[in-house]
Amino acid sequence: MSDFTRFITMAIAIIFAENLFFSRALGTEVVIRIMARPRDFLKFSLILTIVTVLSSVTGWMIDFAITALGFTVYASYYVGKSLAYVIALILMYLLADAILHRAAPAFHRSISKVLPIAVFNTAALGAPLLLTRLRPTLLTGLPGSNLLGAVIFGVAVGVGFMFALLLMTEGIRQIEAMDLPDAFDGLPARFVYIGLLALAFAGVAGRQTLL
Amino acid sequence: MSKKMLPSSKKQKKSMPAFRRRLRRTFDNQLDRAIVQSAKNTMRGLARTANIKPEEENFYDERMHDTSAKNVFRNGLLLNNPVLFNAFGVTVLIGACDTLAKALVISCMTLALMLVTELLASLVYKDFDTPMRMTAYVLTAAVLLALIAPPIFNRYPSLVSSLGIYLPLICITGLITVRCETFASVNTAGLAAMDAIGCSSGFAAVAILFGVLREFISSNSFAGIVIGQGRTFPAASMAFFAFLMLGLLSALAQRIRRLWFRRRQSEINDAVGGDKL
Repeated sequence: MSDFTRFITMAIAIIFAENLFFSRALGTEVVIRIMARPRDFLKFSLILTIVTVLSSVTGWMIDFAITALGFTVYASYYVGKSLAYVIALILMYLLADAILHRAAPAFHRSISKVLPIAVFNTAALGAPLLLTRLRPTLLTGLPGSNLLGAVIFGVAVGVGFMFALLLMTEGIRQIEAMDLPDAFDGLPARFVYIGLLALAFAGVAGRQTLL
Repeated sequence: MSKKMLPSSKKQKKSMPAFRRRLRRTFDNQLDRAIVQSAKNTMRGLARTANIKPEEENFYDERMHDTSAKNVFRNGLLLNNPVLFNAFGVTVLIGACDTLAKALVISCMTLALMLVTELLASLVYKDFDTPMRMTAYVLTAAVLLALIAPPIFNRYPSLVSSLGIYLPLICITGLITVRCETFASVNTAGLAAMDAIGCSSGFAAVAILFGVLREFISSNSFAGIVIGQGRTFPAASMAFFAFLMLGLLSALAQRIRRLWFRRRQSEINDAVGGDKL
């Protein structure tokens, strides 16, 4: 199988078969918050995709640097690497905030509420962590081994979230028009709806995890 | 007059064929439902337009803003549980808390991280700009985690590695960032500490319940010890089961909280009525 075919298969697995939102619950908090604000849906999805791409690429670079420089003693602890990923995310956020504030103040004002939610969430940190975890085991020679793989991984994670958000916003709009019991009104109905969708996705992926 | 009316209506019902009675009942039920729904929608729309909250929510808000230490703790633990009513920390709860041991590790970590971060947010970070504040919360939690986790890793390597990617995710959950931003940065250090203890206890209660139930259902065991020979459902450790379980638990909590609020409201109404009389 050529690298191209492998990348496409991996992207399809991440977006549809084993969507990280439904199979690993990454980014659940932000999805539940954004569902209440359908106007920000597209804006948030695009920013999140950019963030997952950047965090995957920087994660790959950090991983590469740690291996190349031989700092494997402390970095073998998972949290050691995660601290580096968090610092990278923070730097990205501060840089983006400062640049947009100077260069495009109007645009900065329009995204100022969405930007911290899109950067500081479990999906943005989960993407590089998962990429690092997959590298030595399942996907040897694939996404973590070259930069293109990391980019495709990040794009697939972002698009997967866009797909999940689309399903959620549409479904929740239908559910909220229904006459629900008092107890299920609001958050519980959302959890149950996500659970049923996750069950359907689990049926597609099967018991054996692809990622 | 009512005595006269009753027999005639009974006669009318008896004379009506069964299928028409059924049809009428169905129509009445549907009409009732439609009227109730449209009234609900109108009230919601009016409330949203005028920015008015329903009576129950006003009462709820008053309780939530009572900043005595006892109330802050109780809100975090029960009335405003971060997981059941606000969906904070759900990723870690669903991904990692499928056994009791994992749930305990996650709960202890959350308590430690929340306590220190909220204290620092209340004492130091409250004067920072918004972007710097947000980064300070996340960075503090990440540094703390990097300091606390390696000794635990050395002692229980298999347990911590089984937590996978979810252990580092604690430092970026809304449980820490949102509570720091909305509560700790506008309150005193004592209240911030109480909030951290209350919220992390609320999270821990749900996490431990999840750990125990999911472990028992998926492998018939409690804290790693097999206690039954019944049928097992390994899918209980998967995400969809946790989502469904969380939905049901959240519905139960919402029902109990609303009943409690209504009872409190009626008690207050009775007391006010009694004074007036």
